[in-house]
Amino acid sequence: MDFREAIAKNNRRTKLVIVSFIFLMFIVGLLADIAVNPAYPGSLKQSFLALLTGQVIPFITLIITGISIIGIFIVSKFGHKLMLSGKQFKELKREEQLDHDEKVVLNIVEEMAISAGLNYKPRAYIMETNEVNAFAAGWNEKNAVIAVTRGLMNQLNRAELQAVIAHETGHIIHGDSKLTLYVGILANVIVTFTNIFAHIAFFMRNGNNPAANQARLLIIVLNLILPFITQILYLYLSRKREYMADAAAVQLTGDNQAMISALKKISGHHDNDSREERYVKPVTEHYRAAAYIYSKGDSVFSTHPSIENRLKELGEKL
Amino acid sequence: MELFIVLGVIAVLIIWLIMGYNKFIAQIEAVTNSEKEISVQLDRRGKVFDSLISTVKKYMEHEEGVLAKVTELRSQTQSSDPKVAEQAQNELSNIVASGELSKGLNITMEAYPDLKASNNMMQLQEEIVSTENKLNFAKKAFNNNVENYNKMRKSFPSLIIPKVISSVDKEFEYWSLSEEDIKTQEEKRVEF
Repeated sequence: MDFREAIAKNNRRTKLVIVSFIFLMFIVGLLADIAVNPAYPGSLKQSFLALLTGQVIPFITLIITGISIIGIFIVSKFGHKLMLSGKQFKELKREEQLDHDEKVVLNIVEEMAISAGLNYKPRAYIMETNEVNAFAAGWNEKNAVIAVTRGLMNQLNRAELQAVIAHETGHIIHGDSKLTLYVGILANVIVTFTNIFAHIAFFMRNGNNPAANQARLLIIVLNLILPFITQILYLYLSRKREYMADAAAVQLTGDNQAMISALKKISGHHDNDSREERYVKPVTEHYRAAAYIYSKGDSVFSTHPSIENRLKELGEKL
Repeated sequence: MELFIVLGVIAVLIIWLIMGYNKFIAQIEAVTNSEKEISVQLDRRGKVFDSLISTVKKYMEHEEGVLAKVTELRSQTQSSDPKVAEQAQNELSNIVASGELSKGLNITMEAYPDLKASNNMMQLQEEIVSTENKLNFAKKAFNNNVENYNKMRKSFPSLIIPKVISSVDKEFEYWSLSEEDIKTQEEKRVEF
């Protein structure tokens, strides 16, 4: 099992997803340009060419791109504040009185930071809940955090805990929460603008410009399917990033067995425990779901790959 | 037109050279830093172990002393001389009241009292594991950084940069044991 190759492979897929998002953004922008400004002569293809070569300035495309860039800028500045809200968190600090388990968690976080060659230590938090889970957020010195639940600390042994924290460190070094936020911005911009222009197109009268008419029709169709497409792309991305984090965990610890048994324990615990369904989850919980180490699912609509697939990628024979 | 193309190509080449140079510098710094991390961890290991072991030792000596005294006093309470027996009783209750031994002691004298040394042992164990891990991971990170640097130095087209700018042309050795050490470590077995 070559875990570097696994990371590289999933990295390529990430780039593919990002490119498709940007492609979708331009398609929507250009179609909107054609639809609201039917002065262009010729067919849909000629209109596209006219916009792309700059013969006609694609105002709407530029505006959408600008908004995306501003959104991404804002998110990269303030996005990290979204994560740590809505639950009881306690930061673990060396100076404070810690119990044995808490010290172990803090030690492991430091070990993983060394192994990953980070020049800083992510802040470590614990969540006082019996749920068995962990998550990571952030991508730099200021905002990198790793949180584990009390339940996780109680259920796993040191090697398994180390594997889980290595997985979370993997998310940090891959910049996954940044990526999630960026993709979220792109997806929202795409969907919102398609929606706006679909409404405009719907109420515009058909002119005698065939390109504009076609563009309007396409936007109305896109308005129906794009929410699904962006969601599926986003979830695909999320699952690939989980594989990457698993592979990174093995690289950082040099031990795939610990990751395998940790995943088995965690998923076993979730199978037995249906209480969590009954929780009224806070709004941020939904937002954070993708960041957890484990979440049920194995379809195109889930944030995490199935446990079987993850174990298989880790080299476990089922 | 042709002039522009030539200028464009040169500009691209210069940008590539600058970016490549910066990447080399970053990787060299990463190697140096992770090399230092190893010595930081080695230093830490020495200090942490010394202070932890001496703490644990002190506790153990102290508690051993207390235990020995308790045992002695217990045998004195059986003494035929009522004075000695009473004094021993009093001293025993003083030790118990002072909290030097856990409360379980006055209920059953036979059970081992819950000594603080066992707790310290657990912490010592965790510190040993963690410190050794940190040292190991520091070595691993160092080797990874050396690998990244070597990969870039040897692969095309980035191999051109160290040839042009000799300050980024370095020879880094991977961290590993010497041949003899590998042999002796290989033959090492855990024995009880």
